[in-house]
Amino acid sequence: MPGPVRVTTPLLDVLEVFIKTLLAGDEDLHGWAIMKAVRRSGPTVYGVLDRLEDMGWITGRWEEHAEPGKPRRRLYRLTPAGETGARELLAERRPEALKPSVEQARPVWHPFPRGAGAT
Amino acid sequence: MTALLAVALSLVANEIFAVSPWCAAKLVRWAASRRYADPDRAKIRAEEWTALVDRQPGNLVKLATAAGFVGSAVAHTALNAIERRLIRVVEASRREHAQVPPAHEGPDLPVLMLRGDPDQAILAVDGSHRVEAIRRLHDEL
Repeated sequence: MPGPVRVTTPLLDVLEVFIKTLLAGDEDLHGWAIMKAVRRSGPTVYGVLDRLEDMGWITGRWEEHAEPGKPRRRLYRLTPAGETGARELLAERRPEALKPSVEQARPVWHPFPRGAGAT
Repeated sequence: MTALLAVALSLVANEIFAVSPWCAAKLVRWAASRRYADPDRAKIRAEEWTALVDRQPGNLVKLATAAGFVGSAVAHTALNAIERRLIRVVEASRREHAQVPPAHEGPDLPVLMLRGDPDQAILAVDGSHRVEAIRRLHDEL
C-alpha cells in the first residue's frame, strides 16, 4: 500500500484528530467535526480526506440515522493500515500528538478492580 | 419614492436570503462535479457537502461555505489545465530527443544535457519539476 506521498501540515492535523478520537474511545468522524477540530477550511480538509481515502488509510460510510429532513453526513474512520501509518507518521513528525491528554491520563475509578475477585 | 425603493430593496433582499440555502446546495454540487473527475466520488462529495452546508448556521455562512468549495474547485480546474499543458510540453520535448530517458527513470540534468540538446533537456527537467510543484499545490489547496 502506498504511504503518503506528500506530508503536509493539514494532513498531519487531520491524522492527529483521527488518532485523538481513537484514543478518546470513538472511531467515526464527519467532515464538519474534522474541520472544527483542525480549524481549516472545507476544501483543505476534504483534499486531505481524498488523499487518505486513496491511500486506503480511512474508510467512509453514510450515517445510518440522519436527522429527519436533513441530508446524510458521511462518517470516516481509520483503517487498520491507516492507524498504523498515522501512528508511525505522527511518532516521527509530531510525537506529542500521541501522548494521552490530561483527561485521558487520569486513572478511571472502577468498582471492581481487575483481578480483585480472582481466586 | 425613497420609501418605495427601500421597501422594494428589502423585498429583494428577503428573496435573496430565502433562496440562498438552495443556491448554496446548487453551488456545492457544481463544485463537486468540477473538482472530481471520478463521477462516483463527485456524487459522494456533492451529497456530503450539501449536508455540511445545510448544517451551517445562517444563510450567509451557508453561502460563504459554498463559495469556498466553488473557489477551490475553480482553482483545481485551473491547475489541472496548467498541469496538462506542462505535461504536453515535457512529453513533446522528450519525443524530440528520444535518446533522453524520462527524468524520473533516468539520469539527472547534467547527463541529460550531455545526451541531448541542452535547452530541451533543461525544459524537460524544469517542466517535470513544475508539474511536481503543481501537484504539491493541489495538496495544499
